Amino acid sequence: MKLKIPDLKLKIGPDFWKTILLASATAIIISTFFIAMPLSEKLFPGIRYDLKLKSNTWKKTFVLDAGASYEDAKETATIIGSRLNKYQVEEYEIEVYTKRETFDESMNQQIPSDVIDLGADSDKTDSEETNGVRESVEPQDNSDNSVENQVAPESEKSQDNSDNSDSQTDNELNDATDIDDATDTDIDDAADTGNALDTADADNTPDTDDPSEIPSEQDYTTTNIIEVTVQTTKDEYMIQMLIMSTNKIKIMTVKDGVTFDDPNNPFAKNLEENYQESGFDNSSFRYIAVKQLTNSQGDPYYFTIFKPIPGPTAKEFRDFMASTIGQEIGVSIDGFVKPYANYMGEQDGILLPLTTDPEEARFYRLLFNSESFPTSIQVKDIVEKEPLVMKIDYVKTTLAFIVGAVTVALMIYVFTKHQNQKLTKAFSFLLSTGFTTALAISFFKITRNEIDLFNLAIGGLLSSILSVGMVFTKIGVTDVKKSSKQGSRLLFVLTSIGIIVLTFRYLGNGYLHQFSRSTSLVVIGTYIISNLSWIYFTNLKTYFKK
Amino acid sequence: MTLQFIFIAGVPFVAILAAYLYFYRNLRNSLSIAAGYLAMTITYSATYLLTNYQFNLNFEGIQETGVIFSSVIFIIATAILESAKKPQLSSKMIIQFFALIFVSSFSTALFLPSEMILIILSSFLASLIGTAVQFLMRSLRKE
Repeated sequence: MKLKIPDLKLKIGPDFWKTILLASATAIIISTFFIAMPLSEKLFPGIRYDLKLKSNTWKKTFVLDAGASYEDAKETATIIGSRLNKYQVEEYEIEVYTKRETFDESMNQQIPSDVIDLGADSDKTDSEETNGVRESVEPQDNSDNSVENQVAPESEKSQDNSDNSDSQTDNELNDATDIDDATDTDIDDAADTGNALDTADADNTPDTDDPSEIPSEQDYTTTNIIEVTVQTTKDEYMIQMLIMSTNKIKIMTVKDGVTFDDPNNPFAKNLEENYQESGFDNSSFRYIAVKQLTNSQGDPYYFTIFKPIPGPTAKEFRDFMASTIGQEIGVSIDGFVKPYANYMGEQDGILLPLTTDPEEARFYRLLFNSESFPTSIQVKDIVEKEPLVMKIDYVKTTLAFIVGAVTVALMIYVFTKHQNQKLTKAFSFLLSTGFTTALAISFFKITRNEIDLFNLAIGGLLSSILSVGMVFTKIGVTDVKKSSKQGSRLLFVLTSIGIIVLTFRYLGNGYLHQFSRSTSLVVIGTYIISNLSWIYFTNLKTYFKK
Repeated sequence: MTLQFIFIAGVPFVAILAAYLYFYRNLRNSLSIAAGYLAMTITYSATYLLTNYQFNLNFEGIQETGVIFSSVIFIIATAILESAKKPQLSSKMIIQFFALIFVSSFSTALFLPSEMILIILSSFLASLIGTAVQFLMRSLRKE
């Protein structure tokens, strides 16, 4: 049986595709506006259309003891600044100053280095995962020592706990109270503190009236302090690493007679004391690459590749690898050793597994390729501060933005001389500025990306200014077609803004960097949408006139 | 601080001049642009310092973004000045352009924190003065 397919030839008129395109464009515009409107999540209860704002801003001051050399402290501060800048930390301030203190005071304020484990271990044994956000490595954990917690600053607690098990000594420490005060004025109290550390017997407290107990000039030591204050939304653990990691990388071999078989000491293979230096350190590697490769299970994984500088160093490295074939060697990063089983023998580099997280990989790439500190540092204190965050009312600002845009559109209508362009210009401006902003907000809502309201507000304003320029002064709309003079006017505007934005984006820091990134998108978006709006409205007008 | 300021103020200056010379090849007008930009930078710096001392602002990093803001306005204003055949026409256009920007910016800024309003105000004022200086220089040269 033969089926007869009916002839379904549609009569497509000249306006058919135009109608389809105009209807689709109108639908896209309306839906984008609906999604972008504040509280749209209440209109669509089934879908999450709420804006995810950056709210985890934190501020801390890290007080670091950089030793006796002021030059080294300055250089260390520069390296820290460079790292924070490259990591695009929004706000930071670094201060270096010299402080004189007695030996006892300096001892009293030190934290044992083992509480600040800065090893680049991806397992991060000192951190905890809480709701996907890693908590930072705190320099103490003395919840059981309630007496100390009442008085001593955070940084002192761990020292007290590890060094002074005697409770009487702890009570003596409490009497020491504020160390800064002791440094400046109350030397007697500081002397008491020192004795409290030396002996557990409270009766041995020296006579405060005895002038011989006042520290002489020789008793003072000079320390250089680096104070780093950071305000950011970035991961706290990573920022701490950038500030505290000395980034000293060494390739090491296991000491003779050392075995890692003891089940009571599972971390023996991570301790630098069990290894000896091979002579290869940061200076042996030109660039430490962090690349995504495939692991033994076939999954993508980020690896660190330590590849020596070509030439004599590379040859020495190959010889070293050939001589240690079948042995376990280690890569020490800030004193934490990652073991590496050398089964390959003569090879050009070492490949260490790092992480699965791309953001973490980016961070380690930056850290490993930053300079090493010229001196060792000790964390004296970490002070939590109240971050200064601009509070912007999203709903009210959006409404004000809409009112402003409508007013400007009316003004454009009044200012435009040519009668036939009045409506097109006013409507194109409204659509251009509104749709650019709405598109950006909808994008952030749908992708659930975090956004800074400050950036959004400034971006909206900038889009509005550019729309005025593009539509009202006709810088960007239909210019290129008309004449080369008008075309160069548009190119002048776009090129100059482009140079500014790109330079700040790649050389700027903090907010300037962030803002320039959003500006580049705003400029491109506004230019494209201004032209599309003009075309859309011109076609809409002619369509309805027919 | 000085180096940072030179960088922040210098980048837009070089960008505008380079782009202008490339597309228009008019050395005389580029002097007017340079004078206008200088006036703009001085005004912005003055308001920057004034707001910092008078209102004890804590958002120094954010204030630097105002340079981009004022530069964009200045660039569009320069393009308008370049497009008009007569100074009278361009002056009318410039006044309308700044009136539109004023309404657009400050209606939105109404519910923003006072620090942001100050940044927008400083940028607006600086670009207005910069454009006025540029316009005067161009007019004087034509006369």
